[in-house]
Amino acid sequence: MKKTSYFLVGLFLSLLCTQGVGQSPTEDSGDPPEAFELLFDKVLGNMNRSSSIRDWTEGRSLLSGLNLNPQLVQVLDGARQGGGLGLEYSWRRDLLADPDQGVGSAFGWRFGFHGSGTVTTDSKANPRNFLETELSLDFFGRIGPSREENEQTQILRQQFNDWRAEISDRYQLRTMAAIRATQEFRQLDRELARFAMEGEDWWHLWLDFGFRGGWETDQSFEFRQNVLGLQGTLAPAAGRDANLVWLNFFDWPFALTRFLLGDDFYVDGQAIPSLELGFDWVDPSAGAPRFRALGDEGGYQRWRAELAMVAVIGRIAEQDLRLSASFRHFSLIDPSVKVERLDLDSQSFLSLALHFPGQVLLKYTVGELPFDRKRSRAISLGYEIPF
Amino acid sequence: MARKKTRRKAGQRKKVSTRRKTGRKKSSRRASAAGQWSLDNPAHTSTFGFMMDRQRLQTTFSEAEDYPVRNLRYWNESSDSATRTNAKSLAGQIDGYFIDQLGAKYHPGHGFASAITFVAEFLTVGSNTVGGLGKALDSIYKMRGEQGL
Repeated sequence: MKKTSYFLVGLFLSLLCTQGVGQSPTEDSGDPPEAFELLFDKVLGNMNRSSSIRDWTEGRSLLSGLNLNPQLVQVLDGARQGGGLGLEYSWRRDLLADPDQGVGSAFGWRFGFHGSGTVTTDSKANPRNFLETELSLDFFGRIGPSREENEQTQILRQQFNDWRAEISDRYQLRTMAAIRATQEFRQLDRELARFAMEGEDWWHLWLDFGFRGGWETDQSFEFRQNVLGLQGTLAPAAGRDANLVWLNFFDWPFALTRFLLGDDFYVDGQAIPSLELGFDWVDPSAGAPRFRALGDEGGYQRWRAELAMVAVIGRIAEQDLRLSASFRHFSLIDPSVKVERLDLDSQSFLSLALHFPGQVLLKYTVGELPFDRKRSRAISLGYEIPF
Repeated sequence: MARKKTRRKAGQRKKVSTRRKTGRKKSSRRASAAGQWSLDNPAHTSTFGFMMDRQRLQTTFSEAEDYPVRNLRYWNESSDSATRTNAKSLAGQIDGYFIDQLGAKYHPGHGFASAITFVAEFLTVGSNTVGGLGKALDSIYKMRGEQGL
């Protein structure tokens, strides 16, 4: 019965997403059906519908916007065991956005749906048997130094972009270094050439804060819990010549590997880790490991955090080899002695992925997620299916 | 040799030295047809330039049209939530680049929030392309040469 209700909720969300609520930035898609208008009026009161979000499904399949990675999974050790075929999915859709058209604002909000997880042919071999489906309302903004440049600089920058695009096509050049080596570049107007040589000293800070509500389940829906929470995200980035970018010690090893593989020696300001922090109220339903171990103990609160980054290891065969990393941590607030004794008070999970050319991925995961009782290690080899 | 370019006549009136020795023929530029990835479109060439500078895009301009965003360096294969965060942050960087550093304005019906929301969602679909992004940015931002300045 409960599985049916989950299915119906999923179907409702799918329909909501399929119908769309906005219009393309390029063309009017007309008003949504009246039923949806009434629904949003009821659910969201006076919040205005966005006039600017594209309906992704317009002229496309229901699956557009879905990322899928089939993969071969092999558990190495730990609580889980075996191997099999797996499918990693993620699907994000924005339903509403700040309709403010004000000039000069650098803040706004959005409301949307998101789902992600991994399913495998054998659930015991699923190293990430933790499916998350949620609705969230986020307030966001960007912070950076006032960088509005004078008119002449803006015009020159545009002209350099035009010239660079043209020269890359004309001589089949794929890197800035190759473009700098051309005869045309040496003969370029001095003012214009400055844009190719100037230091990248910009910096940028992305912030968002919001509310989320959703479900966490395992792939068989045997374990599940409802979650309401607050979350905030911080994502800095900087140019390679920005002050203090060398303090990004997470990228130091990769600065060395890039150098050894023929690149310049620099610390990458786009590899500064992002941080997501959350506070959740969790209501586990019957079947979850916690409920099984403790009986009906009711809900609890937890902190959660994720630190993640993408680093470029170096160029091999004219392609970048990249490493993605993510560390997630869940920690219960004021857990009982019994919870601590059962080792249910915190979980940590590390995931590393090597991106090979051709959209081939090699992943390594170690740790435990909220439905796991013990840590396990696994490797997987994956590929992306585009929709 | 100064180029003739209808879309940028306004920009070139700003007493900026634009003498460049690109060896390009004056008449080699074709008018950019709407919806086509084109060297004549400043939003497209700037999308290409931005991605080359900040996302290690390593293609020619023409190849970039079909280049999937999943291959850009912001995409985190270890974490879907980190990819979403990076996509939002990158959307913010793109907005700063177009508005502050290129002098673009929003087309009517668009503003900061809608631009960020749209671009961030676009960047979370791995099979979307750099060309598609450039076309979307062209519909969101009115570039300096298109503003009648």
